[in-house]
Amino acid sequence: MTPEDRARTGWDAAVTLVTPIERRPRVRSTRRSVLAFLDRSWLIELGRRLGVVNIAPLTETFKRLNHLHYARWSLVNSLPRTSPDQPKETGAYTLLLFTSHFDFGWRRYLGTFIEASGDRLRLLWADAPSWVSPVEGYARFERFVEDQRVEHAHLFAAYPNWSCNDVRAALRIYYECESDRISQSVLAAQHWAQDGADGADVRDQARVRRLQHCLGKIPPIDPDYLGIAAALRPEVPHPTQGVTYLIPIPVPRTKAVRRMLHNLPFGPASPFAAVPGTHFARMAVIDHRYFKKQPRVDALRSTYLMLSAEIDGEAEPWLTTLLRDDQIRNILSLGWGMKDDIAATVQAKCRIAKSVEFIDYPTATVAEIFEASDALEANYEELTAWSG
Amino acid sequence: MVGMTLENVQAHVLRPAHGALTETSFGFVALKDPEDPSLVRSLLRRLLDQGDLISDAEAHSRGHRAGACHRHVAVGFTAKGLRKLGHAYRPDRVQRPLHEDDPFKQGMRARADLLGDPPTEWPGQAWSGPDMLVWVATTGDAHEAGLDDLRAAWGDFEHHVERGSYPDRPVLGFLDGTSQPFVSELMPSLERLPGSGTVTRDGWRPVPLGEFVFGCADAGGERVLPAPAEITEGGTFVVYRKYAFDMTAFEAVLTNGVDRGLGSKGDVAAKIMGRYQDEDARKVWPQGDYDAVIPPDRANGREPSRNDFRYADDSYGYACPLGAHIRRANPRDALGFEGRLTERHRIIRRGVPWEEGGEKGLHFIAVNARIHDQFEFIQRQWLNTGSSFRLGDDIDLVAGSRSEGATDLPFVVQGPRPVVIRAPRPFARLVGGAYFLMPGIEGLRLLATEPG
Repeated sequence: MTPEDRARTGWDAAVTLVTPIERRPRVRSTRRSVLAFLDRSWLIELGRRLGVVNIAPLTETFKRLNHLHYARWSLVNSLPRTSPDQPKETGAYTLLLFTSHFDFGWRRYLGTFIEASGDRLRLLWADAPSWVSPVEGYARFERFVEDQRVEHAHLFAAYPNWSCNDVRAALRIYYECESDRISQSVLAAQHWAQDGADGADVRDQARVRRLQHCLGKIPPIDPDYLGIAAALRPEVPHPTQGVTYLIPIPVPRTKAVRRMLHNLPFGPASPFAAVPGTHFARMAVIDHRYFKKQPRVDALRSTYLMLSAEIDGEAEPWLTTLLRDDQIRNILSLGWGMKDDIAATVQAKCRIAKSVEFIDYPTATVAEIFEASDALEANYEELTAWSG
Repeated sequence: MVGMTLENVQAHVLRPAHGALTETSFGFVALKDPEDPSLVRSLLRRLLDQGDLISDAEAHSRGHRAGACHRHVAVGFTAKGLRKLGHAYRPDRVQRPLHEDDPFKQGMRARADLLGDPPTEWPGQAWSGPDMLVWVATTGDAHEAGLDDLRAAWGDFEHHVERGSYPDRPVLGFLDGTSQPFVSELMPSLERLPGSGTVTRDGWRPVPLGEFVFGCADAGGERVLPAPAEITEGGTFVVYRKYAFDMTAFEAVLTNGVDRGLGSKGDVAAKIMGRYQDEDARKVWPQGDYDAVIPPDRANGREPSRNDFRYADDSYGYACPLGAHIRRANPRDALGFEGRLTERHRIIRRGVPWEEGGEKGLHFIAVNARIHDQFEFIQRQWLNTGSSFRLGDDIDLVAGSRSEGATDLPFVVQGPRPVVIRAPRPFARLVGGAYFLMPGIEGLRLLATEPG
């Protein structure tokens, strides 16, 4: 993969962090507080019971950051075991898995996150054995987070050249134009509107006034991505959701998995581009090499392949469609106990529950985002030509 | 400690040269011959002995004594230049950006794609880039004489000289450097703080000295001190960029704005820049409704500073457009989080206008301790793309750029009657530039010492 490929596919705009949290008695109560923090509904309920109204949800912070497509935390108390032959893990820790996709690259995102959240990040990561607070120095904290980072082996983004604000602005224009198109047709059926040039002018003015914060020029979605199956609506509609799987793999097969992941094509040729409703997807190998960076944490006894994505449809049909790709199926078949129905095994035994999730535009499907790009192209000149 | 720091910081860095020093020359020097490093050491010794190379504290003190000073000189080096003098530069772990090369080590030209810079053919970049910067400020009457000895010294090297001076209204008719970061260590009173420090919920607070000077605590609570520490302590990074103004493009967008009902050319210019060209404090904001946005805690009966404003109360850009130059280059609290997202992205500017053969422009100078977090962050994230400000891919009309060139640029003027005007091109074209490390005064003394 060339540096240009990495830039073009948004490679530096996604991150996966895996943080072992020790399960010592003292920490157990702290871990509960981490869980509580992550479980927003529980937190809100607690706040209500205690009469505390001032608990700012983390998601509000994310929304205001403006550069976060999604973020997801999962607490993994026990790693998946898919075969009796798979050795049991002995590590006395919980894994905190964090995945996110953002604008402008990892370093800038992390800097913004630290600036916005400061020492409140303690709530998320303070149980990690090597925790360093941002208060002790931004750079030291950045190194701490960097040590939790797992390199992605594969990454897919359906609209890699669009920022969060681009998506939001394009969707607003799209929805506005759609509703305007409908109202125009309704009005056209009424004879008083047919001669109503003034009425149309007023409507145009009102529309431009509503859309004035979306009128920066947004480049169209990368033409190489037009026509990918990911931009089709999935058969089973569902609000956008994140899915994460950890597939255990025998340690001796780690090298083969890495090699096969390395050979996956990127961008619009990625296997994920062929699965309807895929916004973003990523794969990463979590193995003993990663855990060497973590002090006082036992090594893993298997390698774990992380498969994680943000999708529009239900998880099961999405995974089934993905596994129609020979390359992906061959990779997953190297896992422990992956013999006959790989999709069913992975779905049943390897899916990781999420503790909390933030999606910036949870009701917009990939199909709508692509349609919004078309709407933007079709209406931009007219919208910006209007003069107060 | 702070007093000691200011004694060690070169003049020009933290405070501008005093008003009488109106003429500026930038000498860009290449060290090609084996004996050149020795000649540089000799030049440094002479400038130190003559009192040309002085500290910020001394320059400030002299500035208060009329006629006490006719010339200040500051000196900086590229990483290559330091190496030729026998000192290997190494970024410390605090300043080194994750997953990117160190900007100073790599040099500005090698980072053109990241910065959106077009290809340049600036003479100062010949000889695979300059090794040394000699920055000279003199009084108008003494300028030619004040440069004689330096010209003779430069004559020993490959060199290129740029010149500029300070008229009243230098940059497209606007005062430059109106809002500089306020560093409390420099001022006995806090009169200049509002508008120039870091905006907080309770008012303004000074920007930590370490944002601009190596070895001092920065806004992240750390001290940037690249190796070799004995050279860099009290020093800083200086970003030099020569811009040429495209007055045709500027006039075209003003005319377009007038045609589209935005008022006079001055009104359109104010929308684009974020300030009016005149100095009327009540017309700082483009729509002149300064009274409506003045922070209540400053409404104490005293005439407010013309720089004492925020953007949080104008989140829709009705008073100052979201894409106005000063709002993008220094967003204050426009990005929310009580200004925390902007604190680590401030630069001190020492711009000097130039005019040659009918062309006008600016020698843009930025002083900062972490180039990637400060100058480059502003250029890349705020000026070259509008996404942070909900402006899509719009570049800043004044200082934004694209490597491949940018044409037909929209500028959205928000308001009850929103209008989108268009510029044929950005107003400033990069001619060339480089990153320099300006050592501390003690560092210069070490550099002036012959090895052994």
